[in-house]
Amino acid sequence: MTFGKKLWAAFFVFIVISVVAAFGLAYMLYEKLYVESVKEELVAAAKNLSADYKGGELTPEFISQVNWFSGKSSFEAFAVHNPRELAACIPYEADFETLIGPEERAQLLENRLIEKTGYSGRFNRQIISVIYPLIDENQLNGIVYIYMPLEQIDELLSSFILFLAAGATFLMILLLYAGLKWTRYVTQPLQNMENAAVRLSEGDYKARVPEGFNDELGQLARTFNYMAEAIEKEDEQRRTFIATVSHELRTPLSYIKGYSEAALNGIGSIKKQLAIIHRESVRMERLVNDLLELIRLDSGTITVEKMPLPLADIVYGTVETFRLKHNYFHLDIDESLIVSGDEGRLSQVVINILDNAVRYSSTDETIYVTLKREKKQVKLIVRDTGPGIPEQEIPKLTDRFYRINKARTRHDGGSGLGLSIVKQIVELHDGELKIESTAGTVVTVMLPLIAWEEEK
Amino acid sequence: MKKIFVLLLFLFLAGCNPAPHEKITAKQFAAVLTIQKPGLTFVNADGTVIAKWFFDELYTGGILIKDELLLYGANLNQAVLYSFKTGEETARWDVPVGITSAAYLEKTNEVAFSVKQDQSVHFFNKKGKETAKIRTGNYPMTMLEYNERLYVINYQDTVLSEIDLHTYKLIREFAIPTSSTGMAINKEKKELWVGGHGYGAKASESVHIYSLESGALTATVNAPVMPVAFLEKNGYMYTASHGSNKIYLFDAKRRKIAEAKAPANPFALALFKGRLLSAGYDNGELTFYDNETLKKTKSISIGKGSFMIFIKEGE
Repeated sequence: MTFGKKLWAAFFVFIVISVVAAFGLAYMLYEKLYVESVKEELVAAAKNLSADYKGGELTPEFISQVNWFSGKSSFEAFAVHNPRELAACIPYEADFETLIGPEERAQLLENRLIEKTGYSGRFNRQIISVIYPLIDENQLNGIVYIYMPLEQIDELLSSFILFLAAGATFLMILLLYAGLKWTRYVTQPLQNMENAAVRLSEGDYKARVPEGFNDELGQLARTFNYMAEAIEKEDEQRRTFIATVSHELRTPLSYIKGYSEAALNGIGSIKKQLAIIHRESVRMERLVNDLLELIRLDSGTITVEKMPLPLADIVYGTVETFRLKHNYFHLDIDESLIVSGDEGRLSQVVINILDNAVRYSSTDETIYVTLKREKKQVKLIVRDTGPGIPEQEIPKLTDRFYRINKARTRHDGGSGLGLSIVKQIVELHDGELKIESTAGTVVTVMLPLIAWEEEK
Repeated sequence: MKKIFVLLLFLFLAGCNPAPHEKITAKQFAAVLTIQKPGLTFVNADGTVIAKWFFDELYTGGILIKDELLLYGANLNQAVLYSFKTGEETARWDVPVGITSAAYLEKTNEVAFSVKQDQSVHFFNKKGKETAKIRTGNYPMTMLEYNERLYVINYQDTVLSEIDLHTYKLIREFAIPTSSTGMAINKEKKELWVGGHGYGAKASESVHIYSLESGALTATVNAPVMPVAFLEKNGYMYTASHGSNKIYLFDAKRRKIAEAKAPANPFALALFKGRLLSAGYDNGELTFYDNETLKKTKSISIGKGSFMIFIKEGE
């Protein structure tokens, strides 16, 4: 059974119960109210008739007056003065069914009227009756008995029953039709989502669902669409990544293949050719190493062995290795700062940042390296005076294989993975990477400080 | 635990021996039995209530036996003898269920109980042991002893049974109307007056008078509606008609010489110190009348359900 059918079935049951209950209640109320109103009329009539009783024995005039009323009104009424009928012989056993019982007599003697609804043996039918006492000097001299057969009420009701039943059926059909529509309306987004999910699973990442209204289902549809978008984006990135990697590997390979063929055919200078082949091999090696590193970082299998480290030592050491490639470094290093980190990984961070700075700077431009403390953090700031980066490009810098100047790719020799790796490592150390660019580029790495002196 | 046991024992014992009722020291009083809220109300000749007894059991009637009152109930299997002087129970008799009336038979010093269930009259001696039983008509109800005979009205029958007190044999049967309830004997005229409710919805309006000698119906007198209580004194007959709430006084010639309005639904009549007393079942009033003129002299409220009056006029 589908969810829609279940919903409809629940709705159906609910409707049936509601309609039956509503009409049942209406019927009951009607009957009760009607019976009540009849009772009130009976009481009023009994009171009016009794008002003419002047005390003493019941006169024939009074009795015939009550009979006259009975003939003219829709109620049956009569006056009784026979003490036998009024159960006066209690406590003696009566040899016939008296009109009133001992309890009723006691109640009438207290000048309280009696209202009854139900079967009367005397009249052999269901009646609503009111018995009004005629009391004089504490003696029950008679009663006015006034009643109406219940059949009259039932007859009245039975004529309404047809209307009630027709109304109930019509309302039920109407509500069920509306329920069918409503169920479809509610389950349609779910159906849409199911179709879209099937399409997604079959590789159609363009699949989307209509978002509809701003209710829970609309929200779900929007969330589904976000998810589909994310999957599509991820898929696109994966394709781009594979394409990029292939492309990046193909370039050095074509160099190696070309120059090695030239060397084999004895064209050109072998030494120069070997140098190029070597350079491209190094580039490939580095590319592959970086890829491996990144995959390890991505998969979360990498372990970071943290220990207290003087970051200044790493910075000094790395800068020294870069002095072979670049002439001018300006260092401002606070040597007292200790961070908790993996020495190898943090070295890679510094290397990658300096590598970028050196690559995008002329050899005679100064690169500023600052290591300082700010509140509870250590800040490593590397600033070059290179061409800088357009502001909208900055968020993409940590994307894989992203380069600002695509044309310089192979000439610069970077893999395009360096800042991706930096970002991952810094985050593993609970730190933060920030890149700013105005004229030159400022790369700031912030790491938590584990040992510092309280500021005076 | 022990305390609880003692308490339970106490309650048990207390239940077995009900606290005695108020002692009745007066030599002369009228006691009215009420059966809606079972009890006895004692009234002196001035019409002052002197004591009230309340019962847990529903007694529907009783008879005076010298200084004691024997009470029975239609649904009880024991009749209880109470002493006025001490207010205590003096004896309990095991009796058949369904007693409709009782009579004290002075001559034989026995008590007769009419029993609805077995349509019989049971005779008990002063020790509460049954000595004899005789079958009557259907629903024996009202009994009267006269001249060593017991007259029994059969309520749902058309005969009145006359029983010999010594042989316990049925002597005669009188043809009476059904639903007859009350009777009295005019000793001077040797007449038996019988009245009742009537047949079906038709209420009786007259008293049937039978000759005790011939057993024949000799006359009827008009006493509407439903004359059920009778009292005879010196040839004068008092009747109370509960359907019309009337009391009538007939002279020896059966002439109605006085009538009065009775308390609502009277079932009982009694003569006490020159006054006629009548109790209203519906309004609970006990009314005093002059016994000759039936002029109402006093009326007091004693409680609804007044059904019988017992008179004690001294030693």
